[in-house]
Parts: sequence; C-alpha cells; structure tokens
Amino acid sequence: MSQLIIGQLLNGVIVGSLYGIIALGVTLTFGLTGIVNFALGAFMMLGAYATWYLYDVLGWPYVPAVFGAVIAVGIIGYLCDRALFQFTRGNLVNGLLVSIGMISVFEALVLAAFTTTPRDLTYVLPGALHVGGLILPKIKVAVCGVFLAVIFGTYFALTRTWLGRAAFSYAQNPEAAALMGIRTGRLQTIVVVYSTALAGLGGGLYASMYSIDPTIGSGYVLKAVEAAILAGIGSVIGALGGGIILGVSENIGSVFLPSAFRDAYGLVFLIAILLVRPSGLFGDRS
Amino acid sequence: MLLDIQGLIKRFGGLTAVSNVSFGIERGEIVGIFGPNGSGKTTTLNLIAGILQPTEGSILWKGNEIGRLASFEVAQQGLIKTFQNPQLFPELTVAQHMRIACHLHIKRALGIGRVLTLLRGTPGELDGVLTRKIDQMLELCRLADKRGEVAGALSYGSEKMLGVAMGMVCEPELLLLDEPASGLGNDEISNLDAVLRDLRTHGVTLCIIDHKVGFLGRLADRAIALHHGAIIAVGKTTDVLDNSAVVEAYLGKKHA
Repeated sequence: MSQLIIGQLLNGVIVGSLYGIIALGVTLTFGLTGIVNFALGAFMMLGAYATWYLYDVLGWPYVPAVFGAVIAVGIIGYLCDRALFQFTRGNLVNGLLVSIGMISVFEALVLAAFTTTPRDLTYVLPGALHVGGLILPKIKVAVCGVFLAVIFGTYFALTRTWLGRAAFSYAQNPEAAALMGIRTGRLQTIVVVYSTALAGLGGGLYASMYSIDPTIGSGYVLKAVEAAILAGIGSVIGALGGGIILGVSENIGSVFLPSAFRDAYGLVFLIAILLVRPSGLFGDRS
Repeated sequence: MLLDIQGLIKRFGGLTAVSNVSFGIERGEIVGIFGPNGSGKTTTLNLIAGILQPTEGSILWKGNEIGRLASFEVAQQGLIKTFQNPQLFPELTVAQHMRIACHLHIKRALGIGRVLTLLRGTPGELDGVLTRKIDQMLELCRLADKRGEVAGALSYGSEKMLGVAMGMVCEPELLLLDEPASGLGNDEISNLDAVLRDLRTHGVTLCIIDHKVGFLGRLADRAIALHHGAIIAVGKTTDVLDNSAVVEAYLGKKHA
C-alpha cells in the first residue's frame, strides 16, 4: 500500500511539474501582458509534434530534437505575438478569444498534417532506477529534473537579479517605464515568446513519456490555469507549487476514490484553497 | 536652443486642446508653464514627452524633429517627464526604485550585454557606479535618510520627491515636471524649491507646469501662460504674472 502511495506521489510530482511549467507561462504572460493565453496548451502540442517529427521521422538525436522543437515553437510564438497578441495587450477578453481561436487553428493544422492517430516516440531513455525498493523510470526522473531546473532558473533570474526585478516592474507600469526610456512592447514580446517556448519544452518532454495526439494540449492548459490560480497569479515559484499540488492531489485522490473522477479531485482542492485564501496559496495581493 | 516648439496643435475630435503654441527653451533655464485647469498645460507636456502625437506643428530637440517619436525614444534622447502622481511600488524601497529607474544608464554602459546580468545576478563593476549615482541623487533630493524605507511608508511629499529623483537618475538634459507642487504643504514646497534650484546648478534644464503661481513665480526665469490651449503671455516671470490678460484668466475680469 505504501509502495502504491509513494509511487502515486512521485507520479503526481512529475505530472505536476509539467502543469507547473505551463502554469509558469500562463502566470508570466498574464502578469506582464494582461492576456490569459489558453493557446499555451496548443503550443505544448506543437512542441510535442515537432519533437516527434525531428526525432522519429528525421532521425535526430533526442536532445537536439527537443531544442529544435523549442526554437520552432518560440518562432511560432513570436509570429503569433506580432500578428495577434500585440493587439490584445491589456485586453483580457480579446486576448482570451484570440488564444482560444488559435487552439482550433493549431489543432486543425496538426490534424490535417498527421491525422488523429496517436504517435509514440521510440524509447528515449529506457530502464529504471531502483531507490529503496521503489522503481522509478529514468525518463520520468530526468524530465522532472529538467522542469524543476527551468522553473527554478526562471524564478531566480526574475526575483534574485536586479534586471529581472526591474523587468517585472517595468511590465507592471508600461507608461511610467516608457518615460524612463524602456521599450515595454519589446519586453512583453519577450515574455510571450518565452512562455510559448516553455510550453514547447513541456510538449517535447511530454512526448518522451506518453503518446501524443492533436488534442493533448487542451487538458494540460486547463490544469495549468488551475495551478496558476491555485498558486496566485503572478507568483513564479507558486506556479510550480500549484502544479505539483494539483498533480499530487489528482494521483493520490485516485488511489482512494474512483479514478474516473481524477480531474475533479484537483478542482475540489482548488475550490477549498480559494475559500480559505482568495488570492491563492502564494498570492499576496488581496 | 535646446527645445524649439513651432505651431503646436493638438485636437481631440472637435476639441482643440493646444492651439498654435510656439516657444523655446534654452539650456540651463527654468521655464514655468502655468494656466488654469483645462488650459492645455498637461497636454503640451505630454506632446513633448511623446505620450501624445501632435496634430500639427513641430517639436525640435537640438534641431531634430521628435514630435513623432514614441515616448521611450524621447526619453532616450534625454527628455524625461515626471508624473503628477508618481507611479511607485508600495513594497519596494526608495533605493530599489532608484535601481529600477537606472535602465538607461545600464543600457548605455552595457548595451545588449546587460542580458548577461540575468545570469550573474549583479551588474559587476557597474554596481558600484550605480550605487554612487543613486546615493548622489538621493542626497540631492533630500531623500538620503529614507533610502531603506518602502515606498508605501513615505509621505506624499517624499513620494513626489522620489518621482523627481527617479527622473534625475535617467540622466535628463531637460526634466519635464508635471505639477511637482500639487498636494504639498508649505514646508514641502520650499524644500522642493531648494531641490529644483540644486538640480539647475547640476546642469539640468527644467520645464515645470503648475498652477501654483507663487511657487512658479519664485522659481522660474521665464514663464509661459496658457489659456484655452493658447499662449496669452510669455516672457520674464514677473512680467507675465503682472500681465492683465493672465490675471483676468485666473481671477476673472473685474480683478484685472
């Protein structure tokens, strides 16, 4: 029994860190541009397909394939920002409509190109680690490690370096920043591109563990938005915490309760937290 | 001439907020622009700072047209505007605000290399330079003893002074001050007066808009009086304040 619970706990942490990396994109984009980018799930899916294409179809090694996918998704993110998102800055409703529309477009394009047949990557990192009687698939441990490194790296860059802190403050007050000589529009573009690249990375690593189809993104972006709200919008480290809490509560919940309702356990937890702390677990704004 | 404004017009739909305004500012001057509420002072300042684009007319900065530039480009040229109500972060300290405002200094010193400071955490040897510069500006603005205080705990007068200090750390040649004395008590105004005189001896040209005639009258070398978007008097401050059209605009006909 304890083996089962610990195993589910670890699964929860791994899935949760994937929620977390997309939630990080959600929270940064919202905090700095005022857009809730639901299309990040679609960018994750694009990252997964790009990785699959480079790795399995073109035969690249896995790590360069993920890098290639991240760059490709970042470029698509840049184009979307120039073509669409730059016109919806600070406009929640328009930003939402544009991002939801983009989900349909990207899913349809991938569907047309690769059909609905689920794709599986050839084993990237087979084998498992044996730690104190537990069996941990190596690939899941590696993926979880990469996610944690990226999230903590972003956290330290944004909160512990003065340039990161300054960037955060400039973005919160674009007019004042412009009068101090800062190109706030470019700063916001950087954030949109960074968050789409993060989603691409999430997708590229996801593809190494699970099979992919054109709709994988939509579930994850909903979880990521949940995680970001759970944590408190604007909290970088909270995005990770929120993601992991969500992942763990889903996985542990489905040990004791019917697993068909696993998505609900995280939501129940979210509602319970918001009743007690309306600004989220790590949010400090009331 | 540092700043030369010719035939400036700004219309908002059917309303002409600024109509055919022309004036110049020489290096080292303190120029006061005053007028009653709605006379076009703030619009004029926003046009110069690039927040608004003029409908017609030209704004020449050292002989180059800047009327169509975005506000960040105007700021990069050395024209900095402060806010009537400074835009501060309640949880950050005075010194941290000054750091945030150092962007242009850092950009000039490091160029694109400033991105690397995201990895290193601090700007290396530039750190000491910035700290000295910040201390100097805080000293100048009488805020040195408040450098560790969070902005949320400052008095309104200190908040406004911090706004001026943040403008100064952007290394302006011309500092545009939007109603620096509004909402201040008499002690705070005389403090502000002294600070602004010090800024001038520091080599900064000042353009101040305010409707506190007494404050501007003591400080400005030259004054420009606006009424209904047009200049009604321009010249030495004492002459402008005695001008009958100006008195009429402020107090009504029978006092003139």
